[in-house]
Order: sequence, then structure tokens, then C-alpha cells
Amino acid sequence: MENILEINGLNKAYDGFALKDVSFSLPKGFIMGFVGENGSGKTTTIRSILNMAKIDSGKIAVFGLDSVSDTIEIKERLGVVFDSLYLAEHLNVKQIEQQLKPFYKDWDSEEFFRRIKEFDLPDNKKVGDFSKGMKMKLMIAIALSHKAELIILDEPTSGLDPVARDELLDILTEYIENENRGVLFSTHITADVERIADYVTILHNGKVWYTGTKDELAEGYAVIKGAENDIPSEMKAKLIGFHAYRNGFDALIKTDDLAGIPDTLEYEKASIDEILVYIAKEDKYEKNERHS
Amino acid sequence: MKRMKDILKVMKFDFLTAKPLAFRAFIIVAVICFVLSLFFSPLISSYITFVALIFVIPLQSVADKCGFNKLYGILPVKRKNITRARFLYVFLAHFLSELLEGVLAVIAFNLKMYKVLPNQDGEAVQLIKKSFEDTTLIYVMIIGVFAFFCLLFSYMEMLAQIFGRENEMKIILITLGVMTAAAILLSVLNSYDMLPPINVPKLPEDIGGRAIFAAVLNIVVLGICLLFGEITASRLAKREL
Amino acid sequence: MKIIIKNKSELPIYEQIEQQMKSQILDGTVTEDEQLPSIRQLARDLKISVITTTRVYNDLADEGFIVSVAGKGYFVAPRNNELLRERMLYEMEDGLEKAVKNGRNAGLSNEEIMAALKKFMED
Repeated sequence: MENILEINGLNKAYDGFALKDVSFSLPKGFIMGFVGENGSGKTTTIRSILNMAKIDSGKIAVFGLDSVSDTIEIKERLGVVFDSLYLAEHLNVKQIEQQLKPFYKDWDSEEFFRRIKEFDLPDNKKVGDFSKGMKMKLMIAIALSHKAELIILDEPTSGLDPVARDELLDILTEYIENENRGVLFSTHITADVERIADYVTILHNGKVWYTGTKDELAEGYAVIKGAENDIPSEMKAKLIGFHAYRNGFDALIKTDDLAGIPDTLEYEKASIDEILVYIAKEDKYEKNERHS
Repeated sequence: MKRMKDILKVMKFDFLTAKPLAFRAFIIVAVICFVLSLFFSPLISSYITFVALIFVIPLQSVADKCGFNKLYGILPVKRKNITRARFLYVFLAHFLSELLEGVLAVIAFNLKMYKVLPNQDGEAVQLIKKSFEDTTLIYVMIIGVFAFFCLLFSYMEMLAQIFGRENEMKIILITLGVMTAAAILLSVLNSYDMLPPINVPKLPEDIGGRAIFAAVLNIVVLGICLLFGEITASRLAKREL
Repeated sequence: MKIIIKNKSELPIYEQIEQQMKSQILDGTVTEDEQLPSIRQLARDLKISVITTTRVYNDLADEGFIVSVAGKGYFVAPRNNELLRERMLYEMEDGLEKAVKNGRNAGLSNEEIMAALKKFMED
């Protein structure tokens, strides 16, 4: 399968934060959810893809092109939605269209205004006065108007109301109906990717914790609960984010490690949200263990 | 070729950013300047340069406020060309003002509209009449204002982009300080006759000579603007967006 | 075809869709040889991932409910398909076996289980 985005061994260090050996790839025709808590490195990864951050080492290929040397060609074919608008706020959509049009070879004004209409965006109002959802839709309209083959969304849903979030899912599933496209969707609201994402990459502390299909992730982990005494000793080490409380414990576990668990322990499949929570708990747990 | 195309695109982008903020105000003030220069003194036309600055001044605050860094990160244009464009834009704003001022001055000189003013023998009209007699002053004023402000603004643009807007005031004060110190030093040296004599070349008197001088001056100023732009672009290209 | 996805359901999304498609194929809501939406259309309509709908169609094709025609898409398999019939028989037997087992576990006699079954058939 051809990869529309491929990251290999990406390293990037800042003061107090670093991306460490980040590698993942998104095959053409699919949506990838890019999740992780705030500060896990999602935005830095995206900025690296866009060559806005200068990478220390590693290789990023978009459409098979190099993210550093071919960045201009990549950007012709790339649409980006940031968590905040990047346009002059005192302009209306017509003026914005005039401004952006010259930059893209494939700009299609008709398509732009068709989308503006479809997304119910007023064409005489200043874009700075748009609601958060309208701003997000405007950025998508721009991406669609220059025929972007890959859309990267950086936290597009934070601060969005449920209606706008649902509209976004609609737009993205429509977009991906064309199998030559791809979507990388970064968010910490996992419910958004739970449904539409084909692939999921979980970033934690600047490292890739999981990357692969969403189904394998969903089937690969379970939340296990019960009384602490019932845990076989060899199993305890395999628990992730172990959390004991007065009446028992809960933790995340790989479904592969479930073999031979005692009947007294209960387990159910884990949602992406739960997985994120347990990954974070594992950190705290490890810290505490080291201190004690 | 590709570079020039990109720079022009970015200049158009900057112009469209400033246009809704500046256009109406510019037209109104420019018309007033024009009318005043027709009746009272062609010198007034040189104010147009100051008015034209409203096409330049708001650009950076809009860019900062609206997160243009992100936009620069996604547009299919080299970062360096975005920076270069701003300097050419500053030059063009001054150059077009200069042209406009020149045209207005020529019109004013030819129409001599002060003749319709009442009380032709009055002191005021005599003063106005005087200002319509000498073309040298207005010529020097127009090209002088052009050169000085164009260089000043592209210089400040360079410092502000390299050191950050928030440090701009500090930068201006330091620059002024250095310039003042240099001026004082020179005048002290001069008063003790310690400076070698300099022959100030006489400005040409005929139209052809003036046109050539103005053209040379414009090219020199353009060259300096481009140099400032190049310095800024190479400094900024090393940074992350 | 009508498909309703319940987010709060215990069943994974692909199984919900498979069940609903199967029952609509079996009860004739969707007639044989009818063309189904493409994998990507279905994903769009239901706002779910393409991998999920791919899995649904693969499973249904494996079980003989639908057929894939190269270059044209997916169609409902002919209804009198022997495979389908066998499959339904198997599912019936499987269900009956479970029912009997559960009944026995609950301490019911054979007669009581039969009576319960008859009541279902009358409904």
C-alpha cells in the first residue's frame, strides 16, 4: 500500500521537550487519528511535517516527497487546519479568496464559493467575527479549493460545539470517499477519531506509544478490574497504569496477556480515551514506585 | 523568475491585507493634499508619502495578531521570498508616492491655481506665489522625503523583523542615539576645522539632469532596500515559524 | 437499506452493521442482485471508518450474503443460494442448541423447553 505520509526516526529537541524517534505512516485512502495528551508532541510533529520546525534527524515523506527539500511542492497539495485561524481577521471570505488564489496552481474559485455556501459561511462578514466552528470550516474550504490530497488537522475540535464537531466528521468522511486522499487528524478528544479513524497513532511524552489500525488497538487492550489480591504475581508487571483503591484495582492490559487470568477478575474492551488515561497513570505510578 | 513571481504574489497579498484598512483614508487625504497643493503650495504634495505609509504600518501588527506565521508555514512559497516581498513592498509604496507627488507638483505648477484666490495683492497670496516660482525646493523635497523615509522604514522593518516588534522602540532609540552622537562628533570636528573639505555636488538644474539624478537615487534606494531585505531574509530563514 | 449504529451498544460497529445487513437481506428488504453502496460510500453515509466497512463487506462476502463483482462493486447474493441456506440452517441449529443448553441449565424439562419453543413459533 502506498503511503501518503511516512515519518521515520524523527527527532526534535527543544528546551525541556523532545520528540524521540517518532515513526509512523499513513497509507493513501485513510484517516489517521493522532492522539495524545496536551504536550505529548502532536503539534511539534505536525510542525515538522510542514517544515515549520527544523528537525534534528529523521526523514518525513509526504506524497513520497521530502519534507525539507520538496516542501513547496508538498504544500501545493496539502491542506492544513489549525486550532486557530491564520487569516487577516478584518477581511471577509471574498477578500480572503482573492488573497490566497494566486498562491495555488490548482485553485478553484467556483469550488471555494460552493463550499462557503454549503458550509453556511456568510461572505460579507469579517472572518475574525466567525465562530470557532465557522473558522474551522473556512480553513477546510481553503484546503478543498486547492484540491489538497492530504489534510492535516491540528486540534480542530478543541473548543468546538458538538454540532460543529459532527459536521467536521461529515466533511472528512465525504473527503476520504476519494481513495487517493488522506487525513491526519490530531486531537485529544478521542471520541472524534473513535468513529471515523482507520488508523491511530498515540503519542506519549514525545514517543510513539502505538501506531496501527484502530481495530487492532481496540482489540489489543482491555481494562481489567477486581481485587488486588487476585492478581497473579507474574501478571502484575504486565498491567499498565495500575491503580489501586479501597475496594480493588483497575488497570489496562494487553488482551494477549489476558490468557489464564482468574475468573475473579473482570475485564472489558478499552476505549482510546481509557487507554490514554491509563498511559498517563502509568507514568505517575512509575514515579511513585521509584520514590518509595 | 520563480522568485520574482512569488515575491509579487506576496506583495499582492500584503496589499490586499492593508487595502481595506487604508484605501479610503488614503484617497481622502490624498485628494485634500492635491487640492491644497494646487492652491497653496506644490510642497504640500510631498505629504502623500506619509499618507501612503498607512498601507505599510498596519501590516506587521495584523500579521502578529492573526497568526500569519502559521499561514507562512502552509503557503507554497519560500520563507525568504515572503520576507523579501515586504521590503520591495515598502519601496514600492514610497516609489509610487514619489511618482504621484511628482505628477501633482507638475500639475500644480502648470495650473497656477493660486491666481483664483481673492485679494491677489495681499501678503498671503504673495507668499503662495513665491512657492510657485521655485521648482528646486519641491524637487529636492520630493526625492528627499522619498529617499529618507523609504530607507528609514526598510531599516526599521529589518530591525523589527530580526529583533522582534517588542524591542522596536529600544532599537529606534539606540539608532537615534548613535546618529546623534555621530552628528555631534562631526560638528565638533567641523568647528575646529579638522574635517577634510568636501565638495557638495550641485544638483542639476535642467529637467533631463534632474530626471537622471532622481532615477539614480531611486535605484540606489531600491538597492539598499533589497539589501536590507536580503539580510533580514537570511536571518529569518534560520528560524522556526 | 437502513442501518442504525448505536454508539452505546456492546457490539462493535462492524458487527452491528453486519447483523442489520444480514437480516435485511434475509427478510427481503434488500432484494437479490441489488447493488450495494461502495465501501467508501457506506463509510461516508454512516460516518465511520473505511476499514470498518471493508471488514463488513469482506465478512458478508465470506459468508455468502453478498458477492463482489470486479470493477462494479458489491451485490446482494441470489437468495436461493445453497450456501446461504446452509448457513441459515447452521445458525438455526446453533441457536437451538444454545436455547436447549440454557433451558437445561435453568432446570427446565424437555417438555417445558418444547412448550417455550412452540410459543415462539406461534408469535
